[in-house]
Amino acid sequence: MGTIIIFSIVYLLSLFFYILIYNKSLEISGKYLEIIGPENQNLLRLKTVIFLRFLYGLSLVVIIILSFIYLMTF
Amino acid sequence: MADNLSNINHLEPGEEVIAIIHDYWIILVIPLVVYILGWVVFLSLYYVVDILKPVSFNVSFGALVFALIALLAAHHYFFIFYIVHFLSPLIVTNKRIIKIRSMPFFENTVIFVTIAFINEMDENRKGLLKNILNYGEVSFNNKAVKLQYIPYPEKFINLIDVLKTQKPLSTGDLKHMGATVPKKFDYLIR
Repeated sequence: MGTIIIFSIVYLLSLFFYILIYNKSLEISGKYLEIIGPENQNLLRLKTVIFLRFLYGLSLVVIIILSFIYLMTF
Repeated sequence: MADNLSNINHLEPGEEVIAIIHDYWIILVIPLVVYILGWVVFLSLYYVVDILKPVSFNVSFGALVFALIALLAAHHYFFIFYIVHFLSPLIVTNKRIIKIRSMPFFENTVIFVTIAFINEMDENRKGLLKNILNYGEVSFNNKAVKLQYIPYPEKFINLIDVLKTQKPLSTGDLKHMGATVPKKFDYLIR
């Protein structure tokens, strides 16, 4: 039981951090767009940022699932 | 940071974006190494956990928790750094240089430099790597403002000089800097 609680805290902290970074990156990219104007949107590498955000979340979920499966067999 | 961001001015009338320049790619190497190390620690400790399990449950469980925390820390560090890198370009307009860099809990930098107020520009490229790979630090007004990891700093200084002295923009050159420019300034990168 203690094991699951410890791992759950680690997982929740990680997810919280991910959500925080996700929101912050949306906020900053929005701010940049406001500064430079939508006509210059293509100058920012926003597709790369979107891809990184997706990869960040996906790999986090994969790590959590894999470690949880391992924990269950521990 | 939210307050800082909301106070940032938009482009003024007559102000237009000339170029957007990202920090040099060398800045991304350390987070990548940390991420790889995180996976190495994670996988090796998972192997050790299996060996330690019959000997001591507590030690093997501690190793398991440590392995997971090490990997997650490296994972967050890597992705936060990369996302912040791609979200923190240097915006050069015909009137200002704008730099915003925000890493939650760690960094919160907003730099505005009005080009008309720039009196001195220094380029600093100390070190073998900086000279081989052509990147360095550019500072303005007796090092009051410093911009680090600028690719081809001499080209950057030349561009600012062109904008300050209002020479034809075609005398600027941003080739090989990885800069993105509006279509009408395509000649800067060709």
